[in-house]
Amino acid sequence: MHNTNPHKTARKRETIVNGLALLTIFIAAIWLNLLGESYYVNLVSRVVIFAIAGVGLNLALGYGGMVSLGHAAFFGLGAYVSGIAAFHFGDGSEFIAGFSGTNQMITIWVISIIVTAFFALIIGLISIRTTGVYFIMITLAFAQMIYYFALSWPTYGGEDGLLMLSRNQFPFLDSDNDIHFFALCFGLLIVSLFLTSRIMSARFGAALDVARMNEVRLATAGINPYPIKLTAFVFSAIIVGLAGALFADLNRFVSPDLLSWQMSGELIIFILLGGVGRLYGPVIGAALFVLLETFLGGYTDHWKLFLGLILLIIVLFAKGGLIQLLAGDKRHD
Amino acid sequence: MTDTILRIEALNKSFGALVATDNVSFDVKKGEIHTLIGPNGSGKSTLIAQITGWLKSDSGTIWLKSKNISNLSVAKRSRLGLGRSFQVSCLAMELSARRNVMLAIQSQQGSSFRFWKAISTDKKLTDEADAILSALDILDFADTRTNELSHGKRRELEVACALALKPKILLLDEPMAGLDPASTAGLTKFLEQLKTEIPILLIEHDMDAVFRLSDRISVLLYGKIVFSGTPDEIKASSVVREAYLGK
Repeated sequence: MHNTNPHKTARKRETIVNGLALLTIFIAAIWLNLLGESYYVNLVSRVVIFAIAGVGLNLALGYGGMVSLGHAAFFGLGAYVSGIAAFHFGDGSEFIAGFSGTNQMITIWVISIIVTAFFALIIGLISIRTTGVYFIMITLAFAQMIYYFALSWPTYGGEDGLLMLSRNQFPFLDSDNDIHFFALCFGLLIVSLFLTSRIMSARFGAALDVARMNEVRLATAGINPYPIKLTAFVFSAIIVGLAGALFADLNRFVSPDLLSWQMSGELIIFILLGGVGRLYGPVIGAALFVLLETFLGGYTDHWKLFLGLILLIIVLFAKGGLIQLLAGDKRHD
Repeated sequence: MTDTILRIEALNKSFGALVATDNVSFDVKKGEIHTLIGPNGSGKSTLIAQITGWLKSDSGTIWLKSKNISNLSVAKRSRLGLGRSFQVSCLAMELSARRNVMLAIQSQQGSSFRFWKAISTDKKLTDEADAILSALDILDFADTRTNELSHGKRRELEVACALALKPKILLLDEPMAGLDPASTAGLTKFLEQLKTEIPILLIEHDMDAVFRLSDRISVLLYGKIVFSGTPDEIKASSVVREAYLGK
């Protein structure tokens, strides 16, 4: 009766769900800002930043099949780059290699990209030689090393963390204005979603998909899996690091907690809630996480008990996460 | 010598006290199908793994034309033109048949470090994939997910993936295993035509197909090549009869 192509309808449905997710976040921020609820505007920014981090981790975990329990390292490194640059800008002291600190986000982001890429390259070079539980443990071990290093470095606050006087600046925006800052985060989320979707639909993405599904097939097709996975790992770390830099600005505070394994776990939870290897999975997952954290957390300190239950239900009964419930199965063409 | 495409020289591999490959030498020449036969445990799988690069040899040399490939990675050997199919299907099961073939084409065309252009609309990949699928008569299944394909179609898809590499030689590990008679006949015919363009190192248990297809047959026993010759010589050889054909 109906002459519709099921592939097309499924794709349409997913596009609608994705669009609605972004639109809801955007409207929520605008509306809360009109109501003058700056606390809640920042909460939406928190969702967006977590979503960026989730999108980044998804590149390694969801698409590349590399279950990293160490991505907090990159989140924290990005945050510390932001905090430390601001710290030296504040007291006019030397930052690195004779350069003074800066409060310009663009410069900070460039430094963050270099720093996270460097660490991801070293961690990846070693960890990607392994798989399964060994990969998980090696990434965790590296992250813990960086965590304890931050904890014991008194210059930058040690375990007390580092307070920032104000947010770093972005051209033409007043980043201390919460809706401006939200717009900045939202823009970066869209950029990271767009880049991830391009990468995954291109030749590199095709190779990464097969690296996850069947490494023997990939090598037999003439593509060495190791550099493909390593590159994805580094890209993933860069995106997570940028999210970390934004997170420092959001809270005007950086602490070793951002480097802790709990943070790595939370990033994984965003993906599990939303949908592993689905572009918008982490966006929906991060939104659900922050909603639960805020509203359940308002009732009880033990809200993570409920988070655990929800996670259990999703893992057992809806393996594709919320996005699968909303938009159907993952497709590959 | 220029007609020799693949040459194995004095290849060895031991696992502890077990000698899996014992001083094996043979070659595959242009235009021929050279078949390796041998009972289970005779060392065929080890030998394949050494040639394709999954196992490092203890000693010996593998030449692809005039290039020593003994120490190259699996991926590098594939790119240089060592196409293979597996005994047990080894494909990206969640992807369509076309996408499986496109992967091999993409590696053959150059770098996979391209991050921008979508492959789904890349004619250089899709058209070539469809041409190969149609050569194997499985174009109708191009959009079917591999895990929904029948066993026989998957075997053919593996050959298609190997061909997509524009190989200098094909290494087919029991391509007939589990095929129905009609598919076996079809594949046999296809390989007969193919060998004029691409020589084939065949591993096969279906003796009818082996005798029909092979130009030369080598018999592997306890990691050693015990006899090598034409199908007629093999049939006549008492060594082979005792050791392998069991008569």
